[in-house]
Amino acid sequence: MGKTVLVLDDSASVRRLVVATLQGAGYSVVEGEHGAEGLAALDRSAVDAIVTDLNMPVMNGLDFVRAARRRPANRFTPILMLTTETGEAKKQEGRAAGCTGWINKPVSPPTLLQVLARVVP
Amino acid sequence: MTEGSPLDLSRFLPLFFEEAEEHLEVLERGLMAAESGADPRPFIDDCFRAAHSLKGSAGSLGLHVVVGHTHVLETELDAVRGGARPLDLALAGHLLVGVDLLRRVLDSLTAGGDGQVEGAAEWTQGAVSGAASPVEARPEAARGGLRLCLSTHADTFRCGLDPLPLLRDLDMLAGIVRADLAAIPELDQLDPTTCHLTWTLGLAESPPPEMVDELFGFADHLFTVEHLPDVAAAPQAAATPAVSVAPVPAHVAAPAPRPERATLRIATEKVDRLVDLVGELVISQAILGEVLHELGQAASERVQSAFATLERNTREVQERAMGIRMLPVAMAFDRLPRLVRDLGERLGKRMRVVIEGEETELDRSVLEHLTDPLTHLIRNCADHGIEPAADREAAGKPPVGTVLVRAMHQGSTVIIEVSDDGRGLDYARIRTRAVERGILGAEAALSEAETIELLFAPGFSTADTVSDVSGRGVGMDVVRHSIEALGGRVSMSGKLGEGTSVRMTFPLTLAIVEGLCVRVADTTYVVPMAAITSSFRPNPRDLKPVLGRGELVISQGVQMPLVRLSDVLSGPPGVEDPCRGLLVVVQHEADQAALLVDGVIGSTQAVIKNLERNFQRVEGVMGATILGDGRVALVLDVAGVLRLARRRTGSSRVRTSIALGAASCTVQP
Amino acid sequence: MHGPTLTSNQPAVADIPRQCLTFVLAKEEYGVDILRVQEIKGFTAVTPLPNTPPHIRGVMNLRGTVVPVIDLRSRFGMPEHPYDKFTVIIVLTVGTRVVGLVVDAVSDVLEMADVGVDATPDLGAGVDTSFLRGVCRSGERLVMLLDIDQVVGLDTGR
Repeated sequence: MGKTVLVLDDSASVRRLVVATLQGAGYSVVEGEHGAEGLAALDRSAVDAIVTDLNMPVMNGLDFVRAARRRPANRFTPILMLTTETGEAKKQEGRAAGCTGWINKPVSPPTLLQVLARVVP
Repeated sequence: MTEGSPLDLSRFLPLFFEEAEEHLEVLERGLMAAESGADPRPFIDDCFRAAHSLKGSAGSLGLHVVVGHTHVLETELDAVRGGARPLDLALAGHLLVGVDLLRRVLDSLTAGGDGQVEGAAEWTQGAVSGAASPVEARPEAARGGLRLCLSTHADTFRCGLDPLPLLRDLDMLAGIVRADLAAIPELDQLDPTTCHLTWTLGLAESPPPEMVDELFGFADHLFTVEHLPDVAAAPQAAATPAVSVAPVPAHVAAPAPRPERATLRIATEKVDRLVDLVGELVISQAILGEVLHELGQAASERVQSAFATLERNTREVQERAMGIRMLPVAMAFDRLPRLVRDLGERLGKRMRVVIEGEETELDRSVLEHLTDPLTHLIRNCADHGIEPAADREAAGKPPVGTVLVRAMHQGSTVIIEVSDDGRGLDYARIRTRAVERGILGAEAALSEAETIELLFAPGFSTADTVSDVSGRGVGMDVVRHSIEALGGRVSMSGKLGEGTSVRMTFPLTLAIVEGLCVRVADTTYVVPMAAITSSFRPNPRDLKPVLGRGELVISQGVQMPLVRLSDVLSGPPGVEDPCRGLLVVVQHEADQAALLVDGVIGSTQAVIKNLERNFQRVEGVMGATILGDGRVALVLDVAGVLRLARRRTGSSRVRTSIALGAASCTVQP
Repeated sequence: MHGPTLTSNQPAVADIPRQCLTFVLAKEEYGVDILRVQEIKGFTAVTPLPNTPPHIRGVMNLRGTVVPVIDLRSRFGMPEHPYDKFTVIIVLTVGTRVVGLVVDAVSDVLEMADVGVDATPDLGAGVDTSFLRGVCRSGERLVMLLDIDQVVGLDTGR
């Protein structure tokens, strides 16, 4: 497969689960704890998709998406938001920021992999 | 499907096959009921739904072979439930053949094959004579046709979403996708990052709502799915044509929901892990209890009371966790009627099966492995037990032979019995046969019980299906091995001319056993409390060695054998003089014995790890447990220990080795 | 799975493992398919089981699972070593079972693609050749490939 995914979440256990799920399915994974780390990671490596939490310290998910979309290399990189929030308002905000999709927490590994398979080119 | 990255649906196959099996069982039950003359009306709806669901899920996974086959079943069953045709013997039989073929198709697919099965194509194309003309069946176009309009938000591309893969997934539903390009502006005004596309999909079957949600739900901020009225929809099915059959209960309106127990599918590993954790919980609680005990008065009242609550809760969790793994034996018994029917047909014998106690529960792991031995036993009944109808009548028996399969709880065991009213056991002939095969010396005199044991000897399993050996003969040693590997026991009984009975006994999951830790030299054993009557240190006058029968001891006026655990369990020897050790009096059914140990360490809640999982059953050992220091201690099976002891001393309860022929065989009681 | 370069008298069994864990037993080297190896344990307390063949040492506690321990020296009829802190137990999966094998020492991992594998010759009074899948040579080394199912299966299988 050879695809790389960037995983951002301030909770180590969630990160661990997501990373393990992705690695188990053959993806390479780069991780970070918040948006700023995410941007730094994007500077260092090319990724095929991003999975990020919404609420993170230092730089939250939506700010990260906005910043990421301004980078030429990541204008169309699929970005999936992991979140417990499902309100319409949040989704509008997400769309305006450029989120590709939403995945509800608690993360179901099969769901994550299914959705990822559909959005990763 | 185009190249690129087609969605890999193979991970959904195992679940599909599981559900398919359930659907097939529903179909089989209903059709067999109809075949046996019962009123099929209560079953028809279920059968139809089963075929319909099966077709739907097969379709969404692209299993066209299955779809084609189930479509025929569905159509026929729909005609039946619409009153257009009756479910008579011929049709039921024909559909049962279809179910069989379908099962073989699924088996082929499960094994990685292509699902092509001989006879399946002919069956789907053939029709039962006297079938109602297809015109009366409801036209397919009216059923389930669906049009969806899929629109994308202008920001779709900017959000990094490419709609193409999702459309490919819809393709699996065998639909038609048409893009609506009207909204795309002229080239000089086009912003390539803005999405102007809409698609209309026409699907032959309506996908279940969950599936639509699953496909698009994650991006519902970008997609809108709208259901359009179906232009081609024909008016609702013609009114039920007048038939001589009593009106079918209204199925055109939504049928009243069947009361069903709410169930949940859980992966087995999760349940196993939970049960393991409960075991660990019990250990922790026990350790805590000991600590509290040591603290004695010093432990505050609040701690004591909190601990008491913990103990109660733990006990309940333990019971419930155990309960999760228990399933009704009906699951293993379900196939038996079909099996008996088929065997009867094949062997030209008239047989029926009566099932009792199918709601009796048994641990899942045992249940899963019960089918093979059960099938084996039923085959034996059919082959050797039940006589042909003419013989039966001549003997004054009803022409239809009965196979009785019973399950019941008894104390801490579950008993499953398979019996028939056939030929029974001819003890004389069995003995003769054994002598012929060199298993038995000609002069040996055996009781009935011992003769029966011969049937479990490996020598007998090589006997071909000869009707010489009446009653049983083929492969009982295999059955015994299977049952014992599951932690159970098997025994047989029978009367010449009247019938035979095979009884299997299983312990209810003894995952946690209250036991006494005892020490022999540096080895720790755990003796189940339930088997212990008392313990004491004997005086010399209580001991009586008897020539040829080992040592005896008198406890409270009762004489019983003294068993040195180190001898019976081939461990390092402990204290030599019983008066300097301790005797633990144990009992199993009518047998009692006094086990000699060096001393008692304490009581424990032993979480049993069975040895069969990674090794095999060891006589005298119920299982192993892990002590506080991490070492493994063996938990004794008192019945087995007593048996081993008797064998060593050659007590009169046991018949020692029978005179040899070419092979020897030690008969167990 | 890439097979090794096989010589003309290759073993009948076509699936030679890709990598083997090699270990030492009485100065000879043996190999097992690395995919079967679950872990390698040092000396652990073993509880003997009654009325079992002598090469079944007993059972040990592997993080809560009770696992049988087979002494390979005893299995192959070699003189036994007492257990000490240098004793090594290789924990393997055999079918659905987990089993421990006591060996003298563990060597390394052999890439089977780089070695030649021959059919098992008659080794004389050594190991019962029904336990072997083949013999492979890597330079000066001679490693005997164990058929784990045979080695263990005779004890635990039905």
